[in-house]
Amino acid sequence: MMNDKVSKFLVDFEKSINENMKFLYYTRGIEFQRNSVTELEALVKKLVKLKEDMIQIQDEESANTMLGLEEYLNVYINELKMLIFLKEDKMNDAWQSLIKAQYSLIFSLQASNIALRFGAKAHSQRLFLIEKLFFPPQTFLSSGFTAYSSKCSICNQEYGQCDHVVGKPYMGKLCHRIITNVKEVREVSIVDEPANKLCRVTSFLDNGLWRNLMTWRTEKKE
Amino acid sequence: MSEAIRVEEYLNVKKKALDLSCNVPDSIAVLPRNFAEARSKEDLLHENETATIRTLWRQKGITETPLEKKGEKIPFVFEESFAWIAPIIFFASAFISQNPYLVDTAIGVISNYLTDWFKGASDNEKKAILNLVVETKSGSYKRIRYEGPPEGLRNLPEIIRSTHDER
Repeated sequence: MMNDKVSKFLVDFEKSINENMKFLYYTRGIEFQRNSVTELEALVKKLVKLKEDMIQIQDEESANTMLGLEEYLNVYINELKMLIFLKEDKMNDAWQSLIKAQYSLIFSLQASNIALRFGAKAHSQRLFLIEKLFFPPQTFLSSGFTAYSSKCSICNQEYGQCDHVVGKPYMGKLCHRIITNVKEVREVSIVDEPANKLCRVTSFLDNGLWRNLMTWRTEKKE
Repeated sequence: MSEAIRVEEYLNVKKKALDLSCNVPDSIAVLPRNFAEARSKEDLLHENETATIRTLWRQKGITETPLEKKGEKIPFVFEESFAWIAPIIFFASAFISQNPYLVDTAIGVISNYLTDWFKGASDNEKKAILNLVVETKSGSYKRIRYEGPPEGLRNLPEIIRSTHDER
């Protein structure tokens, strides 16, 4: 049974999503897209407050639902920011926003199924296609290390000793691991399927000049 | 994303565990990623996801016989990858013959976890990699390597059982 306040909020949420999704196209005016970001960011603030209320009354299902909605709003905000950055010729920032949108979608659906009713499944495919059609292939980097222990972000106990599991929601928070005791750094590798698409090669040395892999322009490096 | 399953010979797990002065697994166990190559116990390294799998099993009442003796700790390797790479999972013959449905539970709990884990990912990017080692009825050891979408994991219990029954 969903909390009344959450049910009420969902009506506003759906209305806002429907009104703002029309700006998720490159051809829309940048001023509308900027307004849309401002509007959605204000909605996030309201949402976070309501999530905290749910945590206060220990309503875990509602708190996780609010987390799912919060992350789903971040998908919209970051996708809009990507479009704005593309128009402003800030290609690295556009990439960052796209990847943040992709990760927010993953977090949203790990937290709750609520975003499925707003088309989250199709949205993940859309973001994948944007990555492949708008941006050149990237060279990703990944680090590897060994560690003796890690802590659970939910209860701070040794991860594996408690019952929390990475990627599952607990009272409005997703569990993750905090590596605490690194034994050695093993490598930095070039990989095709990185965990973090923000770790990538951004430029390469071309006849004494740094060539930006996103724009192909040459640039000075500090 | 398509799936690939490969079955091949594997070394004698119980003998190797003895050689390394580890506990000898007689039911289900997580093996370190370099179990086959390790020359001593100190070389052993667990996959990052070992602790997660152990928690999921514990929650389902599956009792593992860990290689580590009481108080021992094997470090884990953390490698960033979008694919979900499981540790090597060992199924002793006794575990399969005495608890055939626990094989489904042991794999099912991982499969369900991965379905949730990848729910927001694009279909093109969902990939799980699992290595399972099965002790057959005749006492040989086979490794089953699975690479593909998490949905394909549901076929593994049947493959584990038929591999176990091989002569």
